[in-house]
Parts: sequence; C-alpha cells; structure tokens
Amino acid sequence: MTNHINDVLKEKEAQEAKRRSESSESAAMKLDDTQRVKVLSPGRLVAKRFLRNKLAIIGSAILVLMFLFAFVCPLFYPYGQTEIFYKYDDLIVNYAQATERLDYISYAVNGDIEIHYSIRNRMTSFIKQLEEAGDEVLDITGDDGVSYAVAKLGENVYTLNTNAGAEVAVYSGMDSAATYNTRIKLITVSLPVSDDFENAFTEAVSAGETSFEAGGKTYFIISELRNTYEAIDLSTGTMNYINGDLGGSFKEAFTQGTRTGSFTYNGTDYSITGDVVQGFTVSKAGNMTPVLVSSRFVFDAIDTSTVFSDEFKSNALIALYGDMAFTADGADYTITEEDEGFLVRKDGQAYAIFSTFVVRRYNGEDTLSLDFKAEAENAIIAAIEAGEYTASFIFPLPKMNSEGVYQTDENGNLTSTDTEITATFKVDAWVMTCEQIAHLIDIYGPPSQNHLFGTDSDGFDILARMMYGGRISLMVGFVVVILGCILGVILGGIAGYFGGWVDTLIMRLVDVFYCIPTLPILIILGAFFDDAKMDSYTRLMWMMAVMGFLGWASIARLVRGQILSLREQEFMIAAESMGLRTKRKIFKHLIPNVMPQLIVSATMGLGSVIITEATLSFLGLGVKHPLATWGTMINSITSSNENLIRYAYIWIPVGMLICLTVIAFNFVGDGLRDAFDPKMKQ
Amino acid sequence: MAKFLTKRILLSILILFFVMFIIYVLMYSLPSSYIENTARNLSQKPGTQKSAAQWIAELNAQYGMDKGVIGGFMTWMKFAVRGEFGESWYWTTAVTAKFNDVIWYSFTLAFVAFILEIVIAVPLGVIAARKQYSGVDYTVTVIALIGISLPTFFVATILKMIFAVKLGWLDISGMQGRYFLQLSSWGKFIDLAKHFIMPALTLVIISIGSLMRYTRTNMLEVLNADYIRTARAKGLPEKRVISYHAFRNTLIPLITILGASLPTLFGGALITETLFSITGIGFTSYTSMINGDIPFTMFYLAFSSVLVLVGNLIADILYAVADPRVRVN
Repeated sequence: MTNHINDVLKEKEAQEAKRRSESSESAAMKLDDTQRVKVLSPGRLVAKRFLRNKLAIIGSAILVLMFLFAFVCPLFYPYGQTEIFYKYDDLIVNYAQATERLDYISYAVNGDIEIHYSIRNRMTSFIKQLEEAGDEVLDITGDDGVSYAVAKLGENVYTLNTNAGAEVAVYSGMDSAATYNTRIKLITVSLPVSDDFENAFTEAVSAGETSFEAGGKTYFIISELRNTYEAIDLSTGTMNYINGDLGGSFKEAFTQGTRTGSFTYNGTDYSITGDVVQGFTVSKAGNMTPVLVSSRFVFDAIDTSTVFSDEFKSNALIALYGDMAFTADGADYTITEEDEGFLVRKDGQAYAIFSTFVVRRYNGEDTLSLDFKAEAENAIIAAIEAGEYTASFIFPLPKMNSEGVYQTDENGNLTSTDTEITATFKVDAWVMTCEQIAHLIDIYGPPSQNHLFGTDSDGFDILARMMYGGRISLMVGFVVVILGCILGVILGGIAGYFGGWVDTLIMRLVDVFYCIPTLPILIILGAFFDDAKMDSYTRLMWMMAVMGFLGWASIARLVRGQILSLREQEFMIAAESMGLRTKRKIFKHLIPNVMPQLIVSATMGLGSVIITEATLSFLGLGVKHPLATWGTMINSITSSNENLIRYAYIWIPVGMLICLTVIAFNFVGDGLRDAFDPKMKQ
Repeated sequence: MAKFLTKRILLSILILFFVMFIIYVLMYSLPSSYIENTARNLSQKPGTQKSAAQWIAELNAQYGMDKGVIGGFMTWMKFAVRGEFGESWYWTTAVTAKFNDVIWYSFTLAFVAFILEIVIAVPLGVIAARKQYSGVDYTVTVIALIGISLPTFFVATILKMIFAVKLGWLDISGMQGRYFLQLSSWGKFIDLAKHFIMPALTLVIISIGSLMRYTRTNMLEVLNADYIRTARAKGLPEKRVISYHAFRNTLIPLITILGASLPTLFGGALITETLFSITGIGFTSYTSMINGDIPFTMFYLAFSSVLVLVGNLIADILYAVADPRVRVN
C-alpha cells in the first residue's frame, strides 16, 4: 500500500513539472504581442494602485472589521447597550443591632381611660424629674385639671396613677367678701362679715397665708393685683354633685377639709383638688389607680411570632414589683427572675422574657430568635467589660445559596450555616454585621465568560457598549462629513464655477468660517445642553449639525480650487462649445472630476471628526449617558488613579478602538490619495 | 509689498469683524434663562463681590444683550476694540488680568513642545524622503499617520498611567508638587518643569505626525525637481545635494507653515492643559466655558480668532517673501 501512494505522488509531481515547463514556454511572448501591454481603465488603475498599497489594505481591513463590529455584531450579540446586569455576591450587611434601652415606653393599662396628651407625652420627663429628685411619687396636674401622680414602682418601671373617673362633686361659684389694699390700708367689705374679720384678714395677709377663718367661716385669699388682696367666702359657692347628692352635711365636711385638702365623710376619704378661682373638685381619695405603665423593659417572645398586647405588657410590669403573677387577655402568667432577665411563664412554659437589652433586626423587626439575642448580649457585655468596642460571635443563620434564596432541607426547614457576626459599637448602638449573599448590580464586574470585557460602573456590558459606541462614532463621523461635503461642494462649486463677486463673497465666508474656533464652540454648546438637561438623542443631533455646519469651509476651498483649474481644461471648453446647460456642466463634468480629492479629504476628515466627538464625549460634553460612546466609556474609568490601573482592561481596549478606527481612515485616505494621484507618490 | 500687506491686513480685519459677529450671534442666542442661571450660580461662589443682578446689568451694558443683535454687537465692538472685556464671572477679576496671569504658562508649554516637534519631525521627514520606500520611510509614514490618529485624551491617559501611576515619577496633574512652597527658587523651577513634561510630551506626540508628513512630502517634491537632477549630474556629493540644494528649498514651505503656527502658541492647548490641569489659557477658558462665564468665553473666542487671522497673515507674508510671484498677484 505504501508503495502505491508513493507512486501516485511521484506521478503527480512529474505531471506538474511538465505542465509548468510548457506554460513558461508559451509565456515567452513576442515583442509586439498585445498581451504585453495591459490597458486598464482609470478606475481599475486606481484600484490596482490602491490594492498595491499595504497600509491601505490594512486600513480597509480594519474598517471592514470595525463596521462589522459596530453594525453587524450587535445584531447577534445578546446584550443591549443599556441592559443592566445583576449578580449575587457576598455583601457585608447590617444584620442586627443591639442597644441598652434608655428611654421609656409607655403602655396603657386600660385602653378606655383617656389620658390627656399633655401628661402622656411628658412621661419621660416626669420620670427624669423623679429620678433626679430621688422621690417615689410626683404629683402633677394635667392641662385638663385632672390630677395625676407618677410613681416609681421599681427599678425601670414607673406608673402613672390617677383617680380620674372618681370625682364625686365640683364646688364652685364663690363670691368675694372683701378687698384689702395694703398700701392705703383700706378694707372694702362687699358681703356682711363678723367683727373679727378685718383683724383676721390683715393678719393672714401679713403672714402670707392663703386662707383664714373668721366668724366660723373660711376665707381664701387671692391676689390678682399688686398690693390688693381679696378674701373669698368659701360658703357662698354651690356644690354640684356628679353622681347624685351625698347628703346635707357633705358640704360642711368639705368646708372643713378645704384647707387641708382632704376630709372624711361617712367613713369614706375624699380629696379636694383645684383652687378657689377655678373651683374645687372632690374625689374619692386613695383611689389613684395606674393607667399607664412606663418602662425600659423590652419584651422578647420565646416564639418569635407572638405579638404582645399592651395589656399583657403593662400587667406584667406591674406584677413584676408585686406578686409576680398576673392575668392578661384571659390567661394567667407567672414571672420568675432568670439570668437573662425576667421570664414570663404561661402554664409553667416559658412564654416571654424581658430585659433592658434590646436586640432587633437592623430594620427594627423583632424576628430574631432568643438564642441569638442571648448570644449577642453575652458577647457584647463581655466586650463592654473588657473595654472593647467590637465583639464577635458565631451563630447559625439561615443559609442562602449563591442566588440569594434561602435554602431548605427535605423537610422544608431552613438550613442554617455558622456565620461569623461582628458587633461594633456605633454612636449609641451595637451594630451587628455579617456576610450575606445579596442581589447586586454587577458593577465593574471582571471579564468573564458572560461579559468578555466585564461590566462598567452602571452594570452595563462593556463589549455591548463598545459595539454601540462604535455605531455612534461612525455615524457621527459619516453624518458630519457628508453634511460638510454637501455644503462644501455646493458653495465651493458655485464659487469656482461662476467666479467674480460670487467667488469673492463665498471665499470670504470660507475665511470667516475657517476662523471660528470649532472646539470651544462645541464645548460651550455642550455646557449649555447640560444646563438645559437636553435629551441625549436631541443633543447628538445638534452636535452633528453644528459640527457639519462648521466643517464645510475646507471642503469648499478644496472644491473651488479644483474647479478653477478644471474650468480651464480642454474638456470643459468642449463642454462649453457643445452648449451644455450649466447644471449639466457642473454636475456631470466638474463634480466627478473633483470626486477623487473630495473622497480623500472626506476620508481623512472622518478620522478627525471621530476624534473630536470622542474628545467631547470624554470631557462629558458630547454624547451623553445612556447612549454609549467610546469617549464616555474611557471618561468613566479615568476619574481616579486607582481605576486607571484596575480597569485598564476597559479603557485601553476602548481607546485602541478609537485609535484603530481613526488610523484606518487615515491609512485608507492616504492610500486613496496616492492611488488617485501617483505623481504625489513618486 | 506695502500695497499687498495693506490689502491683506484690511481683509483680515474685515474677516475678523464677521467672525466676531457670528460669535456674538451665537452668544446672543443663548436663552436668557441660561445666562441668568449661570450668573446666579456663579455669584454664590465665595469671594464674589457682585450680585447676579449686577453682573446681568454689566453684561447688558457691555454686550448690549437687551438691544437688538446689530445694536448689541456694535455696543460690544466698541468695548472690544478698546481691549475692554469686562470682569470674568468665574475668576472674579478683570478678564484681561486673568489672561495676563495665565498666558505665559500656555506659551511656555506650547513653545517647548513646538521646538521639540521641529527637532524631531523635520530630520525624520527628510530621512524618510531621502530613502523613499525603505523601511525607515515606511516606519516614519506609519508613525506619522498613527500620531495624527491618536486622540489627545488617550495619549494623555496612557502617559499618566505609565509615568504617574505605574512608575510614580511624575505627578498626575497640576503645576506644583506637594512641597512646592518649601522649595528654593531653583527647586521651584525644576518642580514646575517636571509638571510640564507630560503635557509637552502629549503635545509633541499628537502634533509630530503632520509636520513629519509635511516635511517628507515637500522634500520629495524638491528631490524630484530639475535642479536636484542637475546638481547630481554635476557630480556633487549626495550629502551636499541633500543638505545644501534640497534641504534649503524644503525650508521655504516649512518656515512658512511654522511661522503661520507661531500665533497658535499663544492659543493654549485646550484639551491637554485641561487634562493635566496646567492653568494656562486653554484650561482657564475651558473652565470658563463649562461654567458659562460669558465675558471670559467671549474674550477667548475673539482672541483665538485673532490668532488664526494673524497666523494666516504671517503665512501670506512669508509666502510673498519666499515667492515673488505671489506679490505680483
């Protein structure tokens, strides 16, 4: 078999050699053979010369690739330019916070009794007053005239007591008996009084007392004006009973008790509040019941789903310094003191715990397990004792998979994993942080299989934005150059063809436009568009229009120069003598001959327009987010030195794209120039 | 010659008049809300002596914003001709005072880059032309084309990454090092010079290509001239042909184009200065422009138009000096 293959190969080689020698013989042509001179049309000549230029070929190849990249690739590429990508990643989250409860929270004992807001809202300050004074009870009167007492029940528990609802009568409508002006020592009597009245009055006034007795009557002294005192006869008032008449001698008992503020009638103690001006309120004394319980204690349920009612909380707190047993919401509870705080038991089972140490989820929800709380408290207290500001402990937290979903075992229970939790003291609370898997925008994702160049600061795919950026760059380049060419050819053509004053006028206009600084004007416009918060598409249009409008001058100058020289050539004289119309002469005979120079100039111009656009975008004044452009993509990286190195894989390829495109346009332009005008190349 | 000069100068003034008019129209057509906004924002800056209303009033007085386009333009021209450009909103000094402060930084930077550019580009262009189609020629051509194609900001960013971030030799931007104030005057000069290295390098890289190409093209043209052939036919040594006969003739267009670009040395490198925070006229006007500082912007636009016209004028004169045929026409 091997022999056979070798034979075949030899045979083939021999044939090849024979064929080659034959063809070389036939290639030896005669001198006058027409095949020796190849006549090419001017177009093909240009093409041939162009193709011989290596740089031009490289440039064309780059351009073709760039066009495919910018216009065709996006069709097949799965991502858009403004598609945001997300990822699941470990993130240090604030999981929980712990704090020593320092403020008091009030719970109503009986929701039916209304407590005036002036009292309810000032509980904390009342408690503070009590603590500062070291007292047990603080008597206060609300703005509604009801008297209250804030009492310390025990450590961290205060109650607001009132006898609201126990009033039996109101005594009011007392008249003035006499006035006494101390300056002129004059007593004016308005009601009949006893003889010793004046003496008793003046003595009481000079002694600074508020009441005195004379002739078996009780008088109260009030002073509304300076140096003028008024004696008010208590007996002139009327008693209005709230819950029915209490009998004839009630008023007498009341009168005797007014000066002390309490009296006993029919075996019942009554207290008197109020004053002679407002009227006195008589209430059953010793009837001060707690209506509000304020405490620093926080309730933590054993079963985290339990919700405590205010009644439960207030009764528990009252029972804490009482008989350690209470009833709330129709159930009986007992309290025992444990290490972690006070434990509330329901039917012997642990039900709730309360202490002044609060551990909550960072968002304030009370969903943490008791074990976690105990663990956190131990760690933090240990840290406080050691004088440190950080503590850490390990606790099994529910496990999440890489997609941020809680994992469950086959029974549907959450599986947990030991997680290190770090507690740090911040201002007023211990914040507990741990690593958790979170759903995040994939910012500055590194290059990966899904994103070949990674993602940028908005979570956009870089490769997709490179493609769309290329679209914008190429589009801007073409639109601007075509706009400039149209204007330039028309104006340059008119100037060159007609000459005379038209030429002078247009050329002066060209001079003027040559002088206008393009880049500063584009920057000013960019700043103005920024201020006007213009839509990115609109400003792209404006930018192209302005660049095109400012760019026609050089084209016009070129076209005019070209036409001036063409006008004198024989073919134009022939066209003239044939009587062709002006339009035909310009568009059929002159413009096509200007085309070579125009194409070269336009190709080179494309490169510089792309650079201008990229520069403007780089400065943040060109095409705006969310539209992708190469300039903006580089700008978003180079804002800090650190990024410059870290994200070099983003900005260097993008910069290379700009360079490659512009270089390719320049190579092709250069190649075209040489091909059109071989004399220049010599 | 005098007649030619007078004609060119008068023409330049006429052109300048119309350029100014277009610039004025552009500014005039900015919505007044934008002008009021920027005036209000800038008047809140610390160190500002005047209120926004005062500025607007001054602007109206000097720029005739409350008059018609033509009337307003005439009002502005009256001031501009006398060199009065008002007070900058952003820099809170007279526009011309600010200009005097910053212009020399720009000039120094541009001048250094200009000299470097000539020193590098002209010899390379000549060598490339002498050895046409050689490896050197191709290299020069390709480098020139690449130089033309590089965007300033990309070059600047690459230089920053290499010299400032990676190597740490130079500061990333600005004009003064951290300990500038403690340095001796010589140390201060060195420090300043160090901060000019990267901007100058950027300018050289982006502008070297066109000069190289220009030199090469002109040298090629000269080398194909008949008098070079004659010189060679005479049997002159190649060295003399190139350096005496050919190069001197190449110099004529070169000097013309370089002379024409002299005024632009004062124009500042807008992008380069901005990227490297060199407080020259380019950076200053960029800051003014993006902040809507109308007085300074108008001054800068007028100034750069004048520079272009002066450049054209110099080019015309040099052409006329070099080529007697131009003078006749």
